[in-house]
Amino acid sequence: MRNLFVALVYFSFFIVGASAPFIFALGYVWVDTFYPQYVTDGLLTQIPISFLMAIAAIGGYFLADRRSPPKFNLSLKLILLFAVWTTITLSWAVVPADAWFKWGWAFKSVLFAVFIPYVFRTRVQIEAFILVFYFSCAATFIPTGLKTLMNGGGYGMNLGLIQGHNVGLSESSFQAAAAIAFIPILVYLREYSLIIPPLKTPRLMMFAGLIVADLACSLGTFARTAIIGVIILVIPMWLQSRRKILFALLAAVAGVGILTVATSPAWENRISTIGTYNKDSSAYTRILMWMWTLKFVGEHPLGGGFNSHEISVIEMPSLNGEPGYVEKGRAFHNMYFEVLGEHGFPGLAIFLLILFRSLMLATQVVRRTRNRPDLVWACNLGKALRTSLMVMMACANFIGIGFQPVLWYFIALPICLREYVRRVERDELAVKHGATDPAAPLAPLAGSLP
Amino acid sequence: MIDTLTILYTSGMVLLVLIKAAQLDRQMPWFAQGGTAKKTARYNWRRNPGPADERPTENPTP
Repeated sequence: MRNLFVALVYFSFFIVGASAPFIFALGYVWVDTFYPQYVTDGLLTQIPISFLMAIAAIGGYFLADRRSPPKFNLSLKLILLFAVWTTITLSWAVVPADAWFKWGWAFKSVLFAVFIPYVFRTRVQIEAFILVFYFSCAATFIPTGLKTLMNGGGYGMNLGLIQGHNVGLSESSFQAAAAIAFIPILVYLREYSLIIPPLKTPRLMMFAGLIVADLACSLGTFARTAIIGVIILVIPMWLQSRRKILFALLAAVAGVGILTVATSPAWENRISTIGTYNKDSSAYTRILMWMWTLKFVGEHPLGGGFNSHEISVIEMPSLNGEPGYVEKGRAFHNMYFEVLGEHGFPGLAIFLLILFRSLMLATQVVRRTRNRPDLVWACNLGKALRTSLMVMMACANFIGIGFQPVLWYFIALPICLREYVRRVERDELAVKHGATDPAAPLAPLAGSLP
Repeated sequence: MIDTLTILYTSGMVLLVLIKAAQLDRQMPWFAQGGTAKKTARYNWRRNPGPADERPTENPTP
């Protein structure tokens, strides 16, 4: 039955997309994060579902949906430049075959981030993108969260839907980071969603349940990244809250409740290694790997191309009475070192500019809409996206997710929102100056539905 | 069991979102967002059709 249902959802994107082409792009987001081909074993494993959806998304946009394109702003230029630069680094890749393999999916992730602001332009479209993005990821968060609440989680245990495939959110630290990053967005959706039916109590309960599942999921992975993520999440949310004492009390109660239910002595032992990283082999090899990367880029300032970590050799000293050993091909375990090692100092500079620019755009939205009752939703969405991106950026210090679609969706969302606000301001300015252009707006703009 | 229910719930929500989003998107005056005068006129006519002879032509007089 589940095979049939998932296939029905997949084909629904094509049917509904015929009347609203942006739905095809939603379909691509779903395929890219939910991975229906790994969740089911029916028809969808037999056809190139991602390729077909990508063709539909691009074709749908160019043939029927090229309205109100965004300004080709600095963010989009930087993302495009990054895509070009990562392609150029292939020419001096230290492991060419594997570099080409990673380029195949990484290039798509980066390029799709440029496409996103062209497709998702109105409030409804941006929200639909967020919801499809979230529910695709929630297919991992919910089962992990529920299983953690019932039986406790465990380090290295994959409790999500995707088993046996090292893709997307199947990595525990990444799962924890993404689950926490979505929490501010869920808080926003609880209050401002246009798409989820406005039934106050059921909607409140649904989003509250999803937040609990996300938190339990992040703790159940036993990833130390989760603790960093929660700290980065709580500080801005507390600063932004109007009732700071109430927020602090609720956060404390929720925190204690979740920790009591979802954690165990094994979890405490695992998390306590944050303070003794030099005695924990997993944490210590990461530090050695980062040192190796610095040495590597000292000799290769333009990077070693995708998957250059495969030539790494690190010597692990004896720890806790265990003998030392030599490890080859250790992953970077840090997004910034990943980009640095693979694409050198120019790549890292562009990448950091992209990230900070996205944070800046979210902040710009907050500032420009702060005193506008009609755009209060945009202001709050800007705050939520800024916090989410900060969580991802902080957690990425321990996970190599520089080219994962989930990260690039978080980067692209503030661009969509800033462009929305720019369109609203542009049209208001045109009306203010008494524009006589026959193409001038005849009705409320940019998705300003009630 | 949990896995199957999760698939049904999350995929069901995705289905709901795409249907509702398409519906809300159609209600919006798209062509008012930087579309051409011709398209805007045609769109408004379709939403509120006037007499046949007032139907916008392919090249409306400015």
